[in-house]
Parts: sequence; structure tokens; C-alpha cells
Amino acid sequence: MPTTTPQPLVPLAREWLLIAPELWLALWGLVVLLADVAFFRDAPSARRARFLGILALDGTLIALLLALARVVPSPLGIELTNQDYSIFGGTLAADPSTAWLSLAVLILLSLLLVLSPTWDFTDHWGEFFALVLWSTVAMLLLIAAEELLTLFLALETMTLCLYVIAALERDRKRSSEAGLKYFVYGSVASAFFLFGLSLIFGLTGTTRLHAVREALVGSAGSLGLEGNIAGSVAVLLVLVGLGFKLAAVPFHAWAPDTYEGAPAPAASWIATGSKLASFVAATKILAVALGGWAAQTGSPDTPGWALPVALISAASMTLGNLAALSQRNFKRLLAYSSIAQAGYVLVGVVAAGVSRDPARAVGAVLFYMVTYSFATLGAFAVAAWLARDLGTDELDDLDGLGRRRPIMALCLLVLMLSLIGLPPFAGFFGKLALFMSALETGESGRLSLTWLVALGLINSAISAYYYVRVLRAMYLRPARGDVGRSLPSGVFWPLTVGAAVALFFGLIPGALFEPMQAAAVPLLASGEDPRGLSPETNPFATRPTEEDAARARELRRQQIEQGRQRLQPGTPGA
Amino acid sequence: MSTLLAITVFLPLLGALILFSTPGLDRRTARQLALMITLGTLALTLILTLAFDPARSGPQFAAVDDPSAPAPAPNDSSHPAYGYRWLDTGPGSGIRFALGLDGLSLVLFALTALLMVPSVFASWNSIDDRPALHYALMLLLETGLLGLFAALDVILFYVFFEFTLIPLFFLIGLYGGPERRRASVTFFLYTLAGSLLTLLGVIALVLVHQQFSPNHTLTFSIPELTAGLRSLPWSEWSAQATSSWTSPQALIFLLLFAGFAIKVPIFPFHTWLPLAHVEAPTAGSILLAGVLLKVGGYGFLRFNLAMTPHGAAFFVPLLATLSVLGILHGALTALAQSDVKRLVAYSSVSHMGFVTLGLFTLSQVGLEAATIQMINHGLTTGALFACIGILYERYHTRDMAQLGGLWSRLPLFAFFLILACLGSAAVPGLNGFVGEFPILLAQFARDPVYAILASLGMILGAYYLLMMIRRLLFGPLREPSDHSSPSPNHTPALDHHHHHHDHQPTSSSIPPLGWHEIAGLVPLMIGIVAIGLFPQPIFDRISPSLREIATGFANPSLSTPSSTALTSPTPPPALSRPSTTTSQTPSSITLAVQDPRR
Repeated sequence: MPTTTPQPLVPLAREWLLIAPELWLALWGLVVLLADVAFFRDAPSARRARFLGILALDGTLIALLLALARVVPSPLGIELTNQDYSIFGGTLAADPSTAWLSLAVLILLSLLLVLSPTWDFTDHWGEFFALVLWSTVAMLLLIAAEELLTLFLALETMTLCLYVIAALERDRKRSSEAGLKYFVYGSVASAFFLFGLSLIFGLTGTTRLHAVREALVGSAGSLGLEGNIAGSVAVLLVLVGLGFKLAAVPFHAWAPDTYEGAPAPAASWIATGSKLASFVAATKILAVALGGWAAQTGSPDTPGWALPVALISAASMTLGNLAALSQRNFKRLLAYSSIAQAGYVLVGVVAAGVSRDPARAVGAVLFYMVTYSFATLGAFAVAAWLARDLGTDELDDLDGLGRRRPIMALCLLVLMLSLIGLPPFAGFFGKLALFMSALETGESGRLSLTWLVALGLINSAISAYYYVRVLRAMYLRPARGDVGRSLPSGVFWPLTVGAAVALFFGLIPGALFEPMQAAAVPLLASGEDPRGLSPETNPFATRPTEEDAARARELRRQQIEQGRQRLQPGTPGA
Repeated sequence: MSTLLAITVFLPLLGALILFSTPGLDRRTARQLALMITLGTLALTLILTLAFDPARSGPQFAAVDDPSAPAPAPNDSSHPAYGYRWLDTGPGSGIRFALGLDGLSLVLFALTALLMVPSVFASWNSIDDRPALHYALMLLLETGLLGLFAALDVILFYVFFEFTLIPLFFLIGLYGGPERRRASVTFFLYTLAGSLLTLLGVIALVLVHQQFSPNHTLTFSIPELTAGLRSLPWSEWSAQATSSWTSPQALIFLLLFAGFAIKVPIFPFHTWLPLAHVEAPTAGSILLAGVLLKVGGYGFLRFNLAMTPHGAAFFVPLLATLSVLGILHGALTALAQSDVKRLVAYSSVSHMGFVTLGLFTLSQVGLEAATIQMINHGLTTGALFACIGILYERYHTRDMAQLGGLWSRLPLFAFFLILACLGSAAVPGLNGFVGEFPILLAQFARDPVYAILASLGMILGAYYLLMMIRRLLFGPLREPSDHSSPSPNHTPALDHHHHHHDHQPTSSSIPPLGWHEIAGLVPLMIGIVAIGLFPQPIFDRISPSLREIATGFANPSLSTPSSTALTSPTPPPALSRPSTTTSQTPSSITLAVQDPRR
């Protein structure tokens, strides 16, 4: 055994220590639930919300500290500097990508937990906070998943928790409707997704992302999906499942109703944390595992998943933006906006599949998703405030906010401008990086995907129309109605942090780009050094030997080749 | 000096932040603070202008990251990595925070700093509602504009370019006329839509440069890109394209064109302009007409003409036609207006048509004249909008049917208005002549038909401006009877009103010009006369940068492109030869006169 890596004292304990934030948060969910049952059963709902919110926040802050220890050196000694490191038999990644992204998710969660208790919308506060915490655990595992089954389980755990919290608002049928729609669509999409994954397993003989990649990428580079019916079916099924989680057209129908009907904190978690984790998962499945099926090397418009994903992206941004134009409800507007934003990010996912520099594209995706998540959470905080103080969340309720609440309006202004993609806000650099990575593709020197980027920019202009409607309502219309109660700190924090993130990373984009770039490299991990197969990078893992894996690969490759020959146009019906 | 430039650009931002953080500031303090900041910025700009070395080409006052690197020699064509790294984009110098001025950007930079002063004075008494916010937005806009002209990095340019939208949106939307909401939203969306296509064009240029330059450097530096893109084999690629419309430079030209054409605005894209100009508050109108429109012209020079000369050469017939249509359309529509602000707004369309007509002669004479014309238009239109602001503050109307014979009431105002109108109508001895005449000459050399049609626009221009003078200033005194009724959006000068009421109880409550109104107009008037009499210092400063751009059209590969020759009946670049071979910087007017090719 080579001794290039430092030997930890107790390997198993170290593996557990590396997922300490996840474990802690899962336990804390139970603590919150028990505390609710034991101490607050008879307390009034608002008081329960306040106490349990603080309790959940305390646990999250400790988890945040534990997660911080994975980024900076600490006595725990779990700093993740290794570029390529996996734990638990290669099922979870423990590298800078998980370290940085889990930090972002946990900060978002803290803001959500500050926001949630400001508005007394349910009687089931213990369940609400426990489910939010558990959905976050699932998100963190989803970000770290290195294997299809783990990824699927994490994804399902996450959405299962979200189904319930979407339906938690009392006295409103819209909320139950939101939860039910989300559940029905979601379970069907999951079934498709699982079927797709099983086909991938059948074709490659492995569920490890990098082993799948190894099996699919030939020695002459990617071949795309030409003539590969089974592979095409698998890709289509996977795309259905992912499209649902990302709320991308044409799998978006649930999103507007769910966002509008669900209580604002729940909707914001579906739109931010869940979306961020799902995009990481989508990037891993598409760009890492199925990288060989993206398209033929160097020509992005050959058969492969790049083309359908590009079409989904185009449809998402166009339909999302056009539908948003006529919305009057603020939360519904945000729903369509998030559909459109998913379209922009998918441009980066396509680029990650076909680009010569996929790490740059993935870095752009991560940068965009993080800044988008903070901006959207801030916007949903405003929606929660409207619903709490005015009982409605229509766009007209924002009228005259610039005079009534100057600070709040200013923050929302920054968020909207960042979502348009206007400099000097973070959204601009996110879009710039996404679109540049998409234009950089292709070895023939042709600027491929130009049409997609052009469409993205035209869509940015369209989207400006409805984001500007928010600005117009806030600043150019006279105030009307009640001024409302004082601004609660629970709304203040998500909003100002969102605006600060949008402004800070717009002025100094490098501060976020560099960590995201550092995260993107191990997330992709080159084909020559597959994470699951090299004992050098992980001395603890129990996994098949190199020979086993090579044999399995060879077998699968032969089978694929046979299948391809059977499906040659010259021999129909063979 | 690089620090001084950065301070000049960000001093207004500092003022804006102070004003933003004190929203309750009273009018007096707010306007004095804003005036101090603008005067300070102007003084710094003056220092930069005096320190500028007109003999050197290339950007000056630019910080160089590596201090040990030698300063570039006067005629060194290679460019160091200016400024500081802002965002790492992999190998190469990355997106940089780089500021610097060459002759072309210097004059527009100075114009911005100068026009801010009358803008502050124009708001002196007319802004009562949240004055601190108003001045903060103006100063924010100034930083955007100064930064835009000084940016040496395409992304930095774009950041400032888009950033100007935000303060202007609020200036129009919060402080504008009755239609201000529609005007601000229209302006914002229209401009944004165009500039996003420009962004695509800019990215395309950067990536094409990376792909095909010998070292595959990914650079965002404007001087480096301009030089690098010149050396690429564009004419070969054009020859491979199926039609000239799909040749790479034509496509990129169109993308870049979209944003700048809307800014200028070129004829069919001008529809946002009258609405925005009329609804904007006086300060907004001055800056919009005076500087914002020049951003379009500047963009044409820096990007369209300097980086895609083949595309420009291909589209010249179309663009010259659009320019002439703009000149005539603007002039004819202005003739039909009875609202003076609307009249001046349409005259802007007409005069900016002259600017683009000059630019698309693709000759050095034309480029120089167009640049001078941009400055002229900034001064005269700024002065005209300031005059209209003065009028509106007193009468709450801009309708010529309700006003007349004001000479006897406001003699000083009449003098300023007449001088600005004559400057705008290109009377010899004033600034407009120095710009429009060489444009016509250069255009005459290219194609006489366009020049003749354009001079028709000049005659119409003189006609509607003189007509405005006649109706406003001459004849029997005519004033609206209810001029003291406050308008819903402006409650201007109430204290001013009462103050003078005591002095002139019998005649009227119309006060003569206040000191701040005179102080705002006098610098513009000095500019109008000075440029008319002695434009040479400006020509000296702009001609090195413009000669660099014009050499792109003197490129022999351009004069015989197989595809261009098929579609454009007149080979455009011939005119620029004599001026580029001349080593000195002679007066462009004489040059143009010596060269009547046709």
C-alpha cells in the first residue's frame, strides 16, 4: 500500500467526523421535534414558532461551525484540501466541492430559520422545523453523493420533506393544493428518474458516477448517443426526473401553483436550497456520469443529451419569462422567474457537457446558483412579510414601498437588478460566466451554442420588463393602504444578506468565483483519475479492485458495442 | 496620475453615498454639497486635461500592474496589462479594473464633467421633493459616465454602460413630468434590450480574438483587442461566407450596433428619445442629450469602427441612408412641434444624424468632425434644455402658442437662447459650423447625394430654430394668464417667486435670471463661442486616437474585398488615405477642402 496519503488514527471515526454537520443536523431535527412535544404542546402557536425557531437556529449554527471546520483548519482536523477524496466506500465525496457548497446551503438555512417564525402560518411548528432540517440534511448528502443510489435516496428524502412543508399552512386550501400537486408530479417524475438510473446501471454495471463515466467514455473521446437506443431512453427518463426537480419547462407545471400556494418560507426553500442541490446533482449526473453521452467530442449538435438539455434550457427561459410578464401575484412571479433562471443555468450545464473546459462551466453554474439562491430567498422574505402584514402577496401591495420602507425597498431593488443580470451586481457576472463558458465550446473554432446564448440575452431583456414592474410599484407608484407593522428582523436579515451578497460579489466577483472554481474541479474529477477507482486517493474505501472494475468495464463496453451494431440502420429488426 | 483619474471618477460616487445616507437633508445643503462635488470633479478633470500629452497615442494616466515595466514609448503599439486584476478568467490577464484616457475619451470625459455643473444649477430651485436623493442620483450617473469613458476593459466599460441606466431610470421616474412612469420604463427596457445584444457582440469579439490570435490570449483590454483583431484574416473569412450578410464581421458589427444605435439614436430606433427627453427633469434632459447620446457615438468609434472595420465598410450605404433619414425625419418632426422641449428633443435626433453621418464616412476627416459635433451637440442642446428649464420654471408651460415677446421680459435669457440656437444651427463662427461643415464635406467626397440631402436637414434646422426664437422672443409680449398655478409634479421656485414679487408688484411676478441660472449657462456659451472660433486644441487631442481608428479603413485588404465590392456601389475607404499618410496633425477642414474627389 502506498503511503502518499496521511494515515488518520481511526479511519472509520474520521469518516464519521467528515459528515459531522449532516449527522448533527439530522439529530437536531429530532431534538426540535421532541422539544415541541415535551415543552410547547400547549403554548400558543406564535410562541412555539419563536422558541422552536431559535432552537432550530442554534442547532444550525453549530452545524455551520462544523461545516466551517471543513473549510478552514480547526482542532477537528477535517479540513478538506484534498482535491479528490471520497468516503463511505466511495458513496460520498469529501472534497472542497462539498465543503463550500454545504457552507452555502447552511447559511441559506440559517436565514430561512430566521425568516420562518416571523409569520405564524401553521400549528405544526415542531414538524415544520424538523422537516426543514431533515430536508437540508438530504440536500447536503445530495451535494456529496458520488453514486447513483445515494443520490436518488438523498433526492427523494429531500423532496419528501418538502412535499409536507408545502402543505403546512393552516386555513388555506391553496397550501394543501400546493403540497398535493407537488407530490403527485414529484412521485411520477421520481419513478421515471429511477427507471432511467436502473437503465444506466444495466448498461454500465456500476452505480458509481465516475465508474459510469469510465464505462461510457471511449478511448477516442465521447461518442454521443448515436444509434444507442437504450442509452437514449435512459437519458430521456433521467431528464424527466431532473427537469421536475429543477422546475424546467416542460416539467414545470407544478411550480407556479406550488410556489403561490405554499407558505412563503416553504416556497423559498423549494426555490433555493432544493434547487441549488438539484443543480449540483444534475451536473454530476449529466456532466460527470453521462459525460460520454453529451455529444461527440468537439461537435455539440450531434446526438447526445446536450441537445435536449439545450432545448429544455431554451424553452425554460422563454416560457418562464413570457409567462411571468402577465403575473400579478408576487410569489407566482417569482415562480416563473425561477423557471426562467433555471433555463439560464442549464446553459452552463450544457457547456459543462461539451466544453473544452468543463470546470469553468461548472464553476459558473455554482456561482450563479449560489447568488441566485440568496437573491431569491431575500425576495421570498418580502413575500412572507406581505402575507403576514397584509394578508395578500400581490404585486400591487408593493406600491409605494420606496417611501414606506426605504431600506427594504432598496434591498429588493438590488435583488431585482441582480436577477435581471445588471452590473454591478452578482447576477451580471453569473450570467457573463455562464454565457462565456457556453460560447467557448467546440474545437473547430466555431462559436457553437451561440443561438442559445443569444436567446438567453434576449430573455434577459424580456425578464427586465417584469422585474422592473416590481421597481415601478415600489418607487414610481404612490403608497396606498396601511403602512403595516414594523419590519420584523426575521424579514430584515434574509433581505439584507441577500442584497449584500448580490452587491458584494458583484463588486468583487473573484471572492466567490475562486471557491466555486475550486469546488468545480473535484466535482468533475478528470477521467484519468477516477475517484472511485484509485486506492491512492482513498485508503479506507472498500471497493472492487482495479482488475474487477476493468473487467466489468470491458464487458459493458462489449455489450454496448453489440447493441450499437444491432441498431445499425443497415440491419433493421435484428 | 492614474490615482488622480480614479479619484476623479469616484469622487461623485462618494458624494452620492453621502447624499444617499442623509435622505432628510434640506434643499440648500444638498444642492451646495452637490455643487461642490461637481466643481471638484471639474477641477480634477481640468488638471487631467492640462496634463494630457496630445502628441502621444494610446491611453494615458493608466495604471500598469507591474511597476517595474517601462512606460510605453510614445508610438509603441504593444499594450501592457493596464490596471488591476478584477476577475480571474483562467490564463491571460483576466477582466481588469483599468482606467485610462486617450484623446477621444478625454474630450468626452471633460464634456461630462462640464455639463454636470449646469445640470446642478438647473435643479437649483426646481427640485423640492427629496432633493438629496435627486442630487445623489445625478452624481451616481456622473460616476457611471466618467467611468464609461475612462474604461480600458470591455467588461468594465459594459459595467459602467449598464450602470448609467439605474440612476437615469430613477431620475426620470421620480422627478419627471406627468408621463414619467411610462418614459422611465420605456427608456430602461429599450436601452437594456439593445445593450444586451452589444454584450453578446463584445463576448464574441473577445472569444474570436482568443481563438485566432497567435498566442490564444484571452484578453478584455480594449487597446489590446483593437490591435489584435486588426491582425486577423477577416477578409479571408468574409470570402468564405455564403453572403456578405453572414460574414463574421458583419454579424458582430450588427450585434455591437444594436446597443449603440439605440443610445445615439439612429433613425428607426429613436422612438424612446422624445418621450424620455420631454418627461425627464431639466437636469436629466441636459445629461441625457448632452452625454448619454454621446455614449452611442463613442461606442461606435471604440467598438464598431475600431474593432469591426470590415463590417462597418459593408454597412456604410445602409447606415448613411439611415443617418440622412434621421436628419430629415428629426428636422421635419421638430418643425411640427409647438412644445419647445419636444422640438429640441427632435432636433437632437436630427443633429445626432449628422454625427453618425460623419462617423460612417469612415474617413479621418469625418471621424474628427463627428467627434467635434458630439461635443457641440452636448453644449448647445445642454444649453437649450437649460433655457427651457428656466422658461418652464417661470411659466409652467412649454407651449410656444402661449408664449411670445419674451425678449422684453427676459433679455438675458433671450441672449442665451439665441446664441445656443445659432450654435445649434451651425452659423459660421459658432461651434455647430465646425462640426457639421466638415461632415458634409467628407460625405460629399463619399457620395454627394447624401451630402445634399443632409444639407437640406441643416437648412430645416436653421428654420425651426429661428422659428422657435421668433415665436418665443419676438412680437408682442404674450404670457399664459395662469402661470402662477403650481403644476402637480413641479412646485418650482416658490420662495423665489415671492421674493421678487415685492420688487415688481405692478408688472408681473416673473423674476429675471438668478445668478445660478446665469452661472449654469455661461460656461456653455463660452464653449459654444470658443469652439467656433478656435477648435484646433480639440482637434489636436482627438486626431491621434481617431487616426488609429481610421487606419483600419486604409487597410489595403479592405479596399478590395470580393464580397463588399459586390454590394456597395461606392468603395468607401479611399478618402482616408491622404489624411493618414500625413504625419502631422493638420487642421482637418483644410484637408477636406483639398480633397474633393468627386
